[in-house]
Amino acid sequence: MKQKIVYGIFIIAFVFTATQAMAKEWKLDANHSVVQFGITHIFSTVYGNFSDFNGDIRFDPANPGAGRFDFTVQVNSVNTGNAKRDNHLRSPDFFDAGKFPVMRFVSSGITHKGGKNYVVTGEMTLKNTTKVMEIPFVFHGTAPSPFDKRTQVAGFDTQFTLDRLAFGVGSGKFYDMGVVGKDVHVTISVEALGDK
Amino acid sequence: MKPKVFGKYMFRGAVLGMAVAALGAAAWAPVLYESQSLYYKFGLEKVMLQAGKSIGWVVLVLMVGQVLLVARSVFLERRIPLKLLMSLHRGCGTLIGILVLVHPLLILWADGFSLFPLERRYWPEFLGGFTAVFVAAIVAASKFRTRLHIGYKSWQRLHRICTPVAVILAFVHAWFVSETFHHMVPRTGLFIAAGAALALFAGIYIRRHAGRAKAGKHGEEK
Repeated sequence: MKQKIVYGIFIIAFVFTATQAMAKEWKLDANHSVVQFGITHIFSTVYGNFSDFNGDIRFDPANPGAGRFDFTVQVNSVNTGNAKRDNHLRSPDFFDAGKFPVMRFVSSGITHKGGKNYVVTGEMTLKNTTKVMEIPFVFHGTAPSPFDKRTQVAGFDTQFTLDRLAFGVGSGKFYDMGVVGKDVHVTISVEALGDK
Repeated sequence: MKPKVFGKYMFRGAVLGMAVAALGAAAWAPVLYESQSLYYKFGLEKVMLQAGKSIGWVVLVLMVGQVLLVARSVFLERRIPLKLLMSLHRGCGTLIGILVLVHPLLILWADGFSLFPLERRYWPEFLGGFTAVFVAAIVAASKFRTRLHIGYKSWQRLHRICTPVAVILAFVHAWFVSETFHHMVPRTGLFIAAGAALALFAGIYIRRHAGRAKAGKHGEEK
């Protein structure tokens, strides 16, 4: 009997500490989130987006260290408003979407930098290259959904620059020609939904 | 050589010259009027993309030529024997059947065989793919008609329905898929070719219809 009570206390303590350590889980609202990018073409900037992406978000501003971001973007969904260019971007000249259909970011740590500002550190994998990146982001806070009071909405925004050549997206031929830049300016805006 | 025979050969030479000129112009159009997709290709990839585009143009010209060969033009048949015209039609058809398959292969090869995702904006490319298979099927049905156990009448009926559809689809695909037609000269060339094909088809249809009506009238009189 004593043994059972000890086991019971142990299990309750374990469950309690585990739920305390886990950050709140949010479901990415793809209809109100965007993954955009801009890259220079000689003088102008060509803007595009990826329409197919998903993410697991665990984030609690009170305990950012326990948070986790895991984003995947389907490379095939690239859209710059020009069908032929998009197919060229999918080709081995750039993303080689046939071989590497997704790009992924998995966080390893989140730190609070003051106010609404945070930095997420994690591994960015594009094609067959993985690099550790520090990405600053803004957490706008949470609010009850105006459409469903039982749902909470959280907002995240980030802007960062990525060197496409460091990830093997392009051989550098077009960069050397002065046609396509190497720095890709990425903007991600996310709305995520969670239970109240 | 009799003057009449000499004139016949002169005419055949002139027709051959015009055909070579039309095919040459078609093959050179994508080279002379480069679309922007060619700017980003180099070496072998550029050669393949350019060749793929040129072949597409050549196929369009050959298709118009095919309609001309079977238009039963009295003017043409007086100077070139019907047997030769039909033999050319068959040879040309086989060539078209091969080229419509080589055309997308070269273009996809140049882009590392990265296939188009199923999105509505790629409809001209998908239409092209469908047209290539459709044309290849028409050619295969004609070439292997007896082996496929297709009766002559059934084949003829099918051939007369399918070929105008295939030609129209090919022109629609070309018009919407290529940036080359942003230039005045290729655009005019395409309109002339499409107009010629439509006029020839209309001529064939009217003549066939009139022939049937005449045959029916004779039948009634008897």
